[in-house]
Amino acid sequence: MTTVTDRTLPRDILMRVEKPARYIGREANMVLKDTDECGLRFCFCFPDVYEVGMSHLGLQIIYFMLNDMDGCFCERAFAPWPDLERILRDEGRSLFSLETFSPLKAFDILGFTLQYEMSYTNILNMLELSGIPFPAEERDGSFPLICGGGPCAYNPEPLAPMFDFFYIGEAEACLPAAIELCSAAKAEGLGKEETLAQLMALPGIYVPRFYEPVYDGEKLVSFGQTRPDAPAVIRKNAVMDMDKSYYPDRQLVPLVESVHDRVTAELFRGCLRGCRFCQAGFICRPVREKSPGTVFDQAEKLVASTGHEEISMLSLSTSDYGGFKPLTEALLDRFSKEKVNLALPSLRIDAFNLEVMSKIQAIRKSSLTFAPEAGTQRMRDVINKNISEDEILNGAKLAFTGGWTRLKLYFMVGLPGETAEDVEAIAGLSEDVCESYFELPKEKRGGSLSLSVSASCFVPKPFTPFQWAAQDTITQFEEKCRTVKRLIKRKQIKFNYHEAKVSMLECVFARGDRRVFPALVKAFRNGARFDSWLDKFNFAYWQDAFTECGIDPAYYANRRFDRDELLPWDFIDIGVTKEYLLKEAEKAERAETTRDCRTGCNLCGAESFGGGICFERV
Amino acid sequence: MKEYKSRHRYRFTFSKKGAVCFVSHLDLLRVFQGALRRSGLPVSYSQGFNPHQKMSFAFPLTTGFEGENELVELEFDVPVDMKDVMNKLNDSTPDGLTVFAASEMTETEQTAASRVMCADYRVTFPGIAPDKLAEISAGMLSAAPGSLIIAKENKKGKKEEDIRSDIFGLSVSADSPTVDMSLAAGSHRNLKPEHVSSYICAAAGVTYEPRRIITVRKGLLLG
Repeated sequence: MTTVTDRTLPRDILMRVEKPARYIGREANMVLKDTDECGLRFCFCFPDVYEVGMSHLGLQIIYFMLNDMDGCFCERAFAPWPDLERILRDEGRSLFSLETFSPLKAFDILGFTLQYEMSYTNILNMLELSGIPFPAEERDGSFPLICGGGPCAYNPEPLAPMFDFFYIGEAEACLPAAIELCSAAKAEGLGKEETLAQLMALPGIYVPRFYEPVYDGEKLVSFGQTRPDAPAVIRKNAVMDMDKSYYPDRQLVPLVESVHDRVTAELFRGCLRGCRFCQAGFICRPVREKSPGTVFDQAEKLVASTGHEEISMLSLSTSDYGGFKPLTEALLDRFSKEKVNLALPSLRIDAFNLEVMSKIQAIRKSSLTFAPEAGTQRMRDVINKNISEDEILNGAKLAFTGGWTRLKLYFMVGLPGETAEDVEAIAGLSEDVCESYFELPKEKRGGSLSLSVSASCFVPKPFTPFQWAAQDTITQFEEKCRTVKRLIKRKQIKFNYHEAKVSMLECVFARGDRRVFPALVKAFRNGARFDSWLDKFNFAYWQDAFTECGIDPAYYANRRFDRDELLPWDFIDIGVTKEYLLKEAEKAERAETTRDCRTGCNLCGAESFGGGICFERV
Repeated sequence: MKEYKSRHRYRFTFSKKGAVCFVSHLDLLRVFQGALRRSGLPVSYSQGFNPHQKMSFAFPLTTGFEGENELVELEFDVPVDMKDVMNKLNDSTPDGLTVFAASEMTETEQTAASRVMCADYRVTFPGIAPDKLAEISAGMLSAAPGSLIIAKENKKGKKEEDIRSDIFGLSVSADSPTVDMSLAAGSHRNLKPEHVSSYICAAAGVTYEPRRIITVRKGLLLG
């Protein structure tokens, strides 16, 4: 009789949970080292369920980069689905890593990726299930160091009371050095405080305990160092040579069908468009491209080592890639015989090129996504989206002519300066897109049209020109979405909108300071988990938490921040200056657009990194 | 005149033991597909808009059940070295999944999937004494036709069915709480071992809890 033992959960637990293969590891390209001989033990913790985490490019890069090092073994852990969580709690079992099934407490460092604010309760859950106390000062050297990185680390303050350090910026630049430092510190028997003090000397490392925010009533008035050697400003990490930067030649192939089961070919980082709501575009500046040859070689190796049937060309705005046409043609030429498809997410509507797209999408059954974001030209100018109505309608028409019958349009409500007319125009523009389909002669249409229009709720994000903007209230959001819904008449259009309550919470934690952390803990204790999953979200947990902790969420979400107030994230330097963001905010008020980086440099501050598109010779 | 291309099909036997038995059948398909693509072997693809590898599993194995002699058929564009295929598959699949036998199929041979008639299972009931199991299974085998009723539930609702004629064999181990059962399997008649296991538990006055019962499929019989 074979029992299920050996580096896995007991059989009788796996029999009781949904998709048990989430928890068994053993994937193709998984790395296994001897935990007694491997050196520093790092666990990459993705605070969401397996299938979501396994689609994340950062996991793949960091996993293989650290495992390719001698003296480091990187394993993975994911948030347990509620059914497993219940069992782990009932049976007093710790959360575990997938490679060796070790309890998380056994690691030297737990690295959490902070991809979205609504994943924070899962972080707390993963720590609690591992017997790890939340407040950083309650953990002595016997506990792992808890660190965080990723987009939300650019405002780390809401999590600062819990984390030992944050890594700001791109992992490839300095994470190996941080690992080596921790390794040496461990070998020398250095204590936690001393290790963190040494780490702090590395670029892009923020150690919250060495800084203290001071408040005057509600206002944050100062943020100073508690040690003279703590840097006053922390500059993000960025790799400047994308061709030489580490990129894995293999990917973990998930055992459970994941959100994206495909090879990720990263084209470039940053974005030259400067859309004013977009945090990713700004925090990843300057734009740094990989040469097409590098992308091609990497894609080839990844297809061979994974067996995936699709390559996704990843970037914030794929059609802006300098070598877009030659690379796409080279990849199509190489891979179409092997039945490997190309996916091009993040294409701008104005760059929609029928010739390219028809070669790529041999199967018309997939849908196309365009993101006009706003319904009127004035509003699009306010957000600097730089796309005209003609371009939108032409793009849609081209798609229809090419045989697409499924189109998705993304919009946002609650953008700064939005009027009722702007909201109504979302419906108007959607109907016009629909109309342009019916303008085509019947023979030219591919079938019956399915137009999906989606409206998300604007969240002002740090390091964007809109970082000071007041977010609409939940009531305002809901009313605007109801308006759009009411005005959409065509039966081919399916309109859906995001839950405004979640967007409000996202804003609180995106723009929050350390004072919101207790509310996060209370909401978690009330039962909050997987808050980005609508069927798991419970607003009452959060309302209760804010009340209990004496926090007014409107202070962080619905208040217009003063242009001269101290922001919790001001101590971080991303290259782009605060002055530039302010200038852009003022231009937005006048609905004045800004040219893209390739058309002409706007001296945003990213040029201080000394490379990338800022120095591209025309 | 259309050129006739001979096909090269092989039947492989594999075991699915340990943690990997929790990979669902659909995910197992993807595991094999990925392993084959990584191997570079000349697997044949179907025609049409959505070409897929020509792969056929004899009969899906329930998630959580182990399998000792599972069957999968693969088609290649050219003749292949079966040992080479087995090695490449074993190198690229999770531990616990082992391909250990292979045979070449004839040109006109039907797929195993179309020929499955019976499945043998070894089911362990930790909470029930072997002699009690022996008593129950003897009772089941000697039951009059139409008297071994279980409730089956499908999309249309509940239905009562007699399962006696779908049980080809039932024997109990002398010293361990294990029942070997041979059950009808396939597209025509199919009896899930869970139905037999729950019947046995009920007869023993024990709550049927799937997580406590260990089911291993010993093999498939083809007609």
